Amino acid sequence: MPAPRNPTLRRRRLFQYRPFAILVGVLVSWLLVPYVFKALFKKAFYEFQAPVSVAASFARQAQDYWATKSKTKKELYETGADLARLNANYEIAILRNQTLKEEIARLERLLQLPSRPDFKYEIARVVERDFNSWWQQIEVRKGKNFNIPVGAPVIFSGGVVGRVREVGEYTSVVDLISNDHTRLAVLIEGDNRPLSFRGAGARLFGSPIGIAEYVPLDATIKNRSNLPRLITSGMGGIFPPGLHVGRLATLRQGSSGMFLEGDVRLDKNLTSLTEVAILVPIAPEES
Amino acid sequence: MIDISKQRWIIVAASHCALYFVVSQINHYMTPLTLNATIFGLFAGFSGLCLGYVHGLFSIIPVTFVFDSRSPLEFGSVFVLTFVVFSLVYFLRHQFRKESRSAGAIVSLASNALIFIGITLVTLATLNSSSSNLSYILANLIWSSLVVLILSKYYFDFLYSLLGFFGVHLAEEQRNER
Repeated sequence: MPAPRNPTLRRRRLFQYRPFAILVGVLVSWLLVPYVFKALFKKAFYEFQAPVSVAASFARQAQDYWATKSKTKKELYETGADLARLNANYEIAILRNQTLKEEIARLERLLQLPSRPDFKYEIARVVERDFNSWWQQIEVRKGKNFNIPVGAPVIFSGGVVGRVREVGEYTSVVDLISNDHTRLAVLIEGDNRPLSFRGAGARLFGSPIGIAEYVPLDATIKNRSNLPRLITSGMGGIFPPGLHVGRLATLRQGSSGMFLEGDVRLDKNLTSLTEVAILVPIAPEES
Repeated sequence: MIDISKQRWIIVAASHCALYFVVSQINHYMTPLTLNATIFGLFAGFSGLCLGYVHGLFSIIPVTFVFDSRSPLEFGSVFVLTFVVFSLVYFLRHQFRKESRSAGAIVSLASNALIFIGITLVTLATLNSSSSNLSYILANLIWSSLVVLILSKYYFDFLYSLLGFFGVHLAEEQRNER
């Protein structure tokens, strides 16, 4: 098409191409911006928007408070009695733990072993759960203000939750173990040969799942009502050994033929977490 | 004093962020069912159909950056995907009756599906993920489409009224444009 001689028409035609120019400009500049600037901008924007989700979490907490306030005295009395029973059990467990700790310390001294890494437990409330199609993560209400480090392991009453991926001023993002890109060295309880665990997302209306890889060929599932338990191996030094990961539900031949692989059923409560414990490593002299 | 008719993207961007916040709260409560709705197509659909190119671009920046700042993907990935789909809607918008709510719903649905597939591909490529759970991804795509379908009519109506309240009459402008 010949170029119009009228300058107004020419300007109008050029104006038609402006959106294309902006589209190309934005795409090229996004590709050219160095990763470090993107990371900085991400951090800044995260801090900027964090108070909104934190405020929502406080609102949710207030909602729970008022819901509890509306309960009858009889219900509160029954809950109190239940808690008293639980507390009594926990006190016995604390005493047993104390005795075991002292025994471990005595044996370590006797055998001149280096002491094992110790952790401080930081209980954090969940601000938001994000179980989308691509990744599973939670945001918790503790960050740099509680000295939470990146990579710290996170647990709950049902076992391993995941690892801290990002730490903000007042919040942190935790990658769950059901994440497709999460890898963990685990053991089958009662067997000291290490396996590899990786997350595999979740089943619709079901629990989060994972996959156990490099399972020895002689491993079997004997009792369907009592599936083999997977626990952390302690390798890698991130998770302390012996934490519950999940249960090995199925076994099949692995792609290499030298090992088996199987589906791992994770705790269903991973999808409804409200509070978690972050394990903050403490230096031996501190402990 | 800000002239709202010239800075309408501010109202639209604020509405996009508010709706995103509401949907993320719903997603939080839906996690025990492992359902999650992604609604970026709705934002790309409205901004692409009803706003000018620059205004539309500005209106999708805050909401996509909020998502990007929390995601494990490279910052700006979802913004770029939404921006490309928004541009596509903008370039094709003369093919639709913009003031028709059914056109808005169809465009939002198609945009949402495109963005959803885009994020899936980017995740597979960059996070070293495996595509072992395709049925779960597909179920969430269907759920997201359902949410967009339900929300689109109300959201378009809401934004038309909100902009009208600030003296921006989109329907009138679209009629004059034709």
